[in-house]
Amino acid sequence: MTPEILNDVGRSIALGILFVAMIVILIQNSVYLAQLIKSIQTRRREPLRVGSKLDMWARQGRAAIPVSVIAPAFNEELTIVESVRALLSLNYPEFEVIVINDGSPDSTLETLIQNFGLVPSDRKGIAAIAHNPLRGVYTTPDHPNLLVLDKENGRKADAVNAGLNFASMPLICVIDADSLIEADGLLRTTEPFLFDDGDLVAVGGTIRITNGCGIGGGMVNRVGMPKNWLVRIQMLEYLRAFLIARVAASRWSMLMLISGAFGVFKRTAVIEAGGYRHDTVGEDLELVVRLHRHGYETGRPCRVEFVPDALCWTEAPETIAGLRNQRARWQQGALETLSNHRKMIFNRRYGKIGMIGMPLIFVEDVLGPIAELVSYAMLPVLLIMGWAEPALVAGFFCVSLLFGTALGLGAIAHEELQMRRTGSLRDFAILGLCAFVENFGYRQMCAWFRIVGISKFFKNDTKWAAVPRVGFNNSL
Amino acid sequence: MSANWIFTVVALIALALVLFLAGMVIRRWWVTKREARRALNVRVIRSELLQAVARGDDNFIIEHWSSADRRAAMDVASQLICLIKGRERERLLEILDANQVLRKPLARLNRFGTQRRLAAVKSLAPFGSKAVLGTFKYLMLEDPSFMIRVEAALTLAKFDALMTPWQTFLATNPSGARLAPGHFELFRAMMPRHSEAFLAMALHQDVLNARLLAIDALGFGGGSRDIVRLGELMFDEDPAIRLACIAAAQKRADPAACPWLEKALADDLLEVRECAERTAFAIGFAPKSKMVADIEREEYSLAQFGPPKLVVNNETDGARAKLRSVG
Repeated sequence: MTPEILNDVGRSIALGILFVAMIVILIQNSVYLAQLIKSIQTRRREPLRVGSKLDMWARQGRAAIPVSVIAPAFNEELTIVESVRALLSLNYPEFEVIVINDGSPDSTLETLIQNFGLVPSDRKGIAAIAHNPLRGVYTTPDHPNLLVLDKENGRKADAVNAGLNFASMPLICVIDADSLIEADGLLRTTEPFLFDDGDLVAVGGTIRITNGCGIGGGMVNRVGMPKNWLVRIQMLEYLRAFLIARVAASRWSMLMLISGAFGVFKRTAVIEAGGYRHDTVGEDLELVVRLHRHGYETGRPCRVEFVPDALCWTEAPETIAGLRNQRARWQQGALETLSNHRKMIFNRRYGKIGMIGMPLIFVEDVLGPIAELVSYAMLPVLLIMGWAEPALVAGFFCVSLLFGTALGLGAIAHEELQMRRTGSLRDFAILGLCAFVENFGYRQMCAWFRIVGISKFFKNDTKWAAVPRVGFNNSL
Repeated sequence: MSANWIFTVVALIALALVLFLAGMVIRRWWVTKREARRALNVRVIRSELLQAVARGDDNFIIEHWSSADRRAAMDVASQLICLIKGRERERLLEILDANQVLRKPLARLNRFGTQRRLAAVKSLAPFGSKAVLGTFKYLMLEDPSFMIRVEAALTLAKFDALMTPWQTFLATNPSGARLAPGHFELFRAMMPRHSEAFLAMALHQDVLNARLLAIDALGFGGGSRDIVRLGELMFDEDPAIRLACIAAAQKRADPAACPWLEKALADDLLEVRECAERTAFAIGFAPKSKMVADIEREEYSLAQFGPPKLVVNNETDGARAKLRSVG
């Protein structure tokens, strides 16, 4: 083979790979654009945060459906007291808080016993979903609606299942113990259930980042901006994910993810579906997909809604290692869900979820990161080998980056026009800058972490990599 | 495609994005300043409103209020109105009417777009003025959107201003829909004033959902006579109706239900019998047949094992001490 032929073959292969990668990126970007347009339309039609806490209480106070708040905790000694106080001070007519200490080796349980005056109780569970053995059940006369379960470690899904067995209210709210729900968050998330005709099984709220915020009495008192750029960019990512992607998916009736950090479910629906699965690291996505699947298979397709103005605050990882563990876990969880429910992909029986929702997860979570990294790797090759015009390559690269920036700015504009919860003018400007900065290193790094997640999935690595926490008291 | 052309396009897009961000930052700066002015204004308006309410000045009219001030006054009043009641509350509503504070929000109820009208309904919900309630009654009956009819009904229920149970049912329950917790709450809120209508609805209506709602509401108020009349439904062919009657009796814990509860204990359906047993226990009613059986058992035990010993069952209630024969 002559060098010319080799050169031509190499060029064709490289351009072919790049072409496929570009098609995937184009599909992804088209979806993002459609989501942005849909979310803008939605926000124009549906103004947010209408009615104060008092109005909401007055309007649905008596009618509000009782809720069991389930908060699994593992190694949360730094934040657990603030979190439980926040839960107990929720503005809601009737609710109980079930905290599950999932075999934490630190002093999470001792901190709870000490701060809330817990005493052993003989209360028994109602449902019988399997979970690791319980070591103790605690209640306190100071807070009759607080129940603490101590069990052997089994990860979040196992802990939630234990809590689910003890839940005695028609709705359950699953949150991370290191999260803070805004005082009116429950009133807002349970509102859609009030006149639900039976199809609604889950409602999710928006997750915001506490790093850099002022926290006191279990509440976010001052919204601030952290000094760490890694967290700043994550703030932008969260806005994009919740105010654009989730809003659009919800309005298209294709919402397949209620964040594990904050979601309200119909108790009977979750029990009927068998609770959370233990054998996946993406139990939140898996549960919602299973609820959809169960609904279609039993001839009662269910509804999952998203309420953007119900806020829950949580800590974001501040180190690259923490971010890698988190993103790899999300990626692995998505792939496990796709694998477990592959029957649904392009299956008409599962309606929009099967025909559009699941294939989009495949494009976004399997092909997306690979395509992104491949395109980053191929562009220099094309340039060095002289297989493509440098201006064209650079131009394409820039347009791709600018598209990402535009999406980020769209999310910020959304937030600004509807909620304005970004702190000071300086904080707002920094968030705007993040939309540009994230394109240089952060996006590529996250794509790599997702590849790590894909590799963990294929290795069947079920080890839970912890995300280090700073604690609310140190978040200023 | 020339390099210049590509770079020009990229530069233009980048410039547009930078300008967009700059525009948003400037807007935020302007909004922050406006908010600061507004906060000051809100304090002044709150003080003016509170003084007028305290003075008893029903015809308090402020000439200098701009439309922004009226919006601020509405926000202030929506908070105040939840905190005051009686004559002061009425006075505040009169002041709002006199200053036409609610005129624009009321006009927004005629807008196109369900969600916008829904937002207007929610913003007016704290105010129970005559104009607001009148408009909400109209919305509840006539609005094409289910959610708006329901929101209007919830507000009317809060001010005890709902119309007849049947009108409320028609407005809030689309045909064939499943009943939601909100429906039950609406009907319960009407109970003290409409027990006659509920009884008639339970006894004579053909629509199952309407009957279920009426029976449930009867469990939250009304006289013992209503509970007695519910006994007529124990022969209803629909078990949902029989179960609803028993549930209503349980909520009221009214002994007036005892005569027909005995029939329920002999119902063909196990679910109905179980429910009736729980209700009988809640009311403290031991049906005659069961009592006779108990006495017979006691007599037999007495003959066999000697006198009974009093055992208090702490798990239930001290008052329900049971005589149990101990061998």
